[in-house]
Amino acid sequence: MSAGLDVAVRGTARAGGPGTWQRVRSGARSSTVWVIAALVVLLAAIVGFLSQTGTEETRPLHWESSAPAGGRAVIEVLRARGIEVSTTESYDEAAQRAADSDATLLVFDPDSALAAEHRQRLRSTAVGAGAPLVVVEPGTEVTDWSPGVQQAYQTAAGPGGSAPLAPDCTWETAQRAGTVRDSPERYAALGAQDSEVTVCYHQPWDQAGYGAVTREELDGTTVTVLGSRAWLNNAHLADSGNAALALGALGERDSLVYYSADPNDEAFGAGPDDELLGPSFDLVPAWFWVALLWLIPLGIAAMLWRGRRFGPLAVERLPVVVPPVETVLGRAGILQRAGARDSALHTLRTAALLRLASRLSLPPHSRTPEICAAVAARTARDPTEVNRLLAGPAPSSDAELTAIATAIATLESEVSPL
Amino acid sequence: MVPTWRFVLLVALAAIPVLLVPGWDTAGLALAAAAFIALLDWLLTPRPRRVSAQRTPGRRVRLGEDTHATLTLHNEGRRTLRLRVRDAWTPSAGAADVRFRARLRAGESFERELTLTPTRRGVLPADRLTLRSLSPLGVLGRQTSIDVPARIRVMPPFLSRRHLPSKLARLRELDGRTAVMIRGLGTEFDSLREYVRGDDVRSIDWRATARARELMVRTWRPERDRRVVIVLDSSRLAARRCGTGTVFDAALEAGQLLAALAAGGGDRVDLLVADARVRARIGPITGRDPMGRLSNELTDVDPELLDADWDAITSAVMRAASPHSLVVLVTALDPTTVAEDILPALPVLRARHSVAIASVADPELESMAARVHTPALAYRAAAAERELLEVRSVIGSLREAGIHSVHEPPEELAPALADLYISLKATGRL
Repeated sequence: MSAGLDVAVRGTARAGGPGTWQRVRSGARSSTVWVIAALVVLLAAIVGFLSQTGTEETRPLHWESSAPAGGRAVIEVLRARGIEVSTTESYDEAAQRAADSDATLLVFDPDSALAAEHRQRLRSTAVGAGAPLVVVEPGTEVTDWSPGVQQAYQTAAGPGGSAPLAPDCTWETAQRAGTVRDSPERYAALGAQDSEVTVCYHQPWDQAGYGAVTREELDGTTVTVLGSRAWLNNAHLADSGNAALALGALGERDSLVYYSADPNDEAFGAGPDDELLGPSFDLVPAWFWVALLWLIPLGIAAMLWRGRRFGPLAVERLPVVVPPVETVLGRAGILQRAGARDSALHTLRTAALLRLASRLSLPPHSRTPEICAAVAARTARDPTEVNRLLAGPAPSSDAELTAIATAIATLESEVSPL
Repeated sequence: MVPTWRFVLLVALAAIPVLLVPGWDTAGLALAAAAFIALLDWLLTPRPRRVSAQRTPGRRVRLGEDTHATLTLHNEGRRTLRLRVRDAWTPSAGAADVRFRARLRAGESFERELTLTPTRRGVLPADRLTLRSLSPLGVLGRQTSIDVPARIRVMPPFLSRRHLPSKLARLRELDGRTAVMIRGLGTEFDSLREYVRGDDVRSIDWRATARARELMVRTWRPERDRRVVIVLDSSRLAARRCGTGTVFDAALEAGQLLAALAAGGGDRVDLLVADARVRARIGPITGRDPMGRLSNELTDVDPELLDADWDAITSAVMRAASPHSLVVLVTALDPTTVAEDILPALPVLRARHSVAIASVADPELESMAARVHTPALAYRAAAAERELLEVRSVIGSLREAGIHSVHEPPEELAPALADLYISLKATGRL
């Protein structure tokens, strides 16, 4: 009819794009920019958080830690008292400083980083130099520090609670300090002939000879074992006699060397990571780790390759389509929820009667009894039964409704057209 | 910047020196070298913007047939382009094989024909054309998407065309019958012929017999040059899915068959598509090829979620129709709509025209009504039966009002409406 209709639109386009400014403007509107901006902010927040927490010291009794479990307060107090405090995490340095007879050596080893020979060497160095040694919470290793003392275990449980401990011994520092916080650990003298051990601080119900603090005289100097780190930490230093005990024990000399054992100290030989991974990892060649790490840039490259879409998605405006029979389904739902069995069955019966009447060629305005009679005659069924199905009472339950409806369907199938 | 698989390969190759000499320095150097090669390659990539593109869509088709669209690319730059092309069309255009490679020297053109198998009726536009120009090493590419407007027309399928020859034959059989067999108003005198045994003696024309000295009978033919106005309802009720298509698809089939038949029978046909407003007005359709124009104009009319405005439709019909026409409304027999909107509007039409209503019966209602085995199904059956009873009563009340009606499943609506037209024509009631 017309060529113009056949070729509806025939377009030519040149791939000239929009100007730079327009592209910047439309780019700012696209979500990519904002997603990238959100990622940058998130990354900055993470880096900031990590760098902040990275410098924060949280190890227990550490001299720089101001956390409740830290030890900054006691160090500050000692310094205020004119005691020169030097700190170290290196075993070698600690061993070197221990040889100074004018300094008290404080050792705190919460992770049990020191081996037995390290402990004994440190002790013998300090004792040999005549320097007092103070050990905090050594646990079972107490014997290495103080040869006449062992950790003691209560055979009978006390009444519980944490009443302050009274000194109850001859050590004048403890007597001056008075009561201190309760401690979970107890130590006792081994009872050897040549040792002079003073045991202080115990609850009244403790076994005789048990105490939270021991002080052993050893070759002209002393080894003091403090059974609780809580006495020294920031949170509890100010409680009852804690501070006095700490200052008395640590302030015997003009200076203090505080050695806090670090498990990652190179002096202990192999690092803990290697022990953790086990020796089998030494068998893996280095190129394997390179290849494994190289999967990261490779993965990024693959994502860039697969992630770039070949042009935008093709979109289409489709004509509207309404689901079929939705009003009927809605009406069925209303009938069922309302339990309208009588009206549902009435509808089914009416429809069946109309169909039966037309199949039996009855006049269009036949009455129900006439149709029932004709159906009964046709199917040779009991007329009362047919009457009950097609004009009986309303059903009392859904099961009865289904039964009657099924029976009507069967009856209809038995009636063939004349 | 579009990385290709070669970019991934380049990054993989950069691992080799690092494997040989493990270390952070080697890794950094290798990555930097890879990035440098990629960047250099990208800078050397010719720009795809120097390509002009043209799409030439193929002829209009009926739904179910294949068509094609030719894409012509012309390199206006001075460098050879290695292109990957995506010739995207709207999804229902059924474009197969839209991605291909092309190599274009400077000033060269490239042509490719794309086969389209549309999956729905309408005016289907082309989507954007995406060009990806590959770098010399093929590591990266530059990509751009451009609009190259083109559209194909997909006309309604007219599957009921197969009924047309038989219905036209039946229409022609009506010619030459004697008036007695089809006695009624409006039959037109056709010719005189000799009496043969079996003709009704009442149709003998005595004056002609006297003149010819042989027994002559008058013959009649169905009236011609009548007006038929077909109204297709495109309101929300026509958007329902029904069988394989929508109600509107079935209505289109019925409307097309009736229009073709009536035009073939010598009548003038007007066709309106209307909901809240008149969406399409086609006609008068007469003559040899009524279907071309009709199908073309019905191509992109789709139902919308609007209620039909029957007063507006009535006045549009009154404007389109001459004094005595057959007005066929192809709509849905929704009892509420019929009672509240259609029936009040009909007396105006009835006063001057014959009116027939054709509607699509949903076969799903019958199957729902037959299943009663669980309580939920029984309630559904009751609701479906209620709907069927209401439709039945609507048809009854239409019949009482003197309106012909056809209510059939989608596949049978078109032939049934054609039969109604033939019977009206045969009895001279147009």
